[in-house]
Amino acid sequence: MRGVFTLFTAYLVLIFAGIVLYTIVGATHH
Amino acid sequence: MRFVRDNGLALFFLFIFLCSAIAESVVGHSVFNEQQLMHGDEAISYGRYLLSSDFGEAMLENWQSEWLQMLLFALATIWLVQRGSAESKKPGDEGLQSNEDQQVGRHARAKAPRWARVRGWRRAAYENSFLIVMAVIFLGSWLAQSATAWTKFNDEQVQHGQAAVSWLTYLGEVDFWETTMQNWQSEFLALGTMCVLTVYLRQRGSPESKPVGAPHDETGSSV
Repeated sequence: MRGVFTLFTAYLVLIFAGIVLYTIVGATHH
Repeated sequence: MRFVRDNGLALFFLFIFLCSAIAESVVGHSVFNEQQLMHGDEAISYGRYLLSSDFGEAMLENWQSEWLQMLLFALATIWLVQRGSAESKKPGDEGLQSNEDQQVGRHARAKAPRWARVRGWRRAAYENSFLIVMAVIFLGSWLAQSATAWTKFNDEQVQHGQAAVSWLTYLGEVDFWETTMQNWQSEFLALGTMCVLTVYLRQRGSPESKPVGAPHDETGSSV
């Protein structure tokens, strides 16, 4: 199950990275 | 190889997500630069485009509606049923169900997650953890959509000699609600379609379908 947890984490990191990155991009008028 | 076989679905969808996000960025960059040149502005690099509100908005406006779709589906199927649908619980099973049905507390099995055994806030949080995370992702991506769309909107305002608006003012603009509703309506129609088409139609081998020979009035069974 260790590999599954890596994928679980990878999905969440990818999604939240996208959300934080583009919130900053928008908020800083880029 | 066992890892790949055991995780086929997650790996397949991650792979096609990355391919289509890259393809979107390449064509989006090209469209953006064509418009820059048409307006007499300078073209921008691919790296700069990846960190632009134009690309962010195009991606995030679709993201938010997908998580809203899954969130609403998980929520609505707790209390509503569709007789005959592969996607529904059986009529009569509406609601949060008993602790025994849900295998929590003293009904937890040997390998149950730790927070399914306990009481109080930890169980309450774990019982709803899927919806909580989906809601955070939906609201987060909707926020990111609004921030990037606001910057794009203000760019166009300035280009047309009009005043820039605040983020809160932008949230009341029809521009924001047009892109939002445009994404929501298609998700809701697709969900309704999934519920009702699986009553009469089948896909052999798919857990999204009833077994091919299952009667039309049988609800909620999968292969």
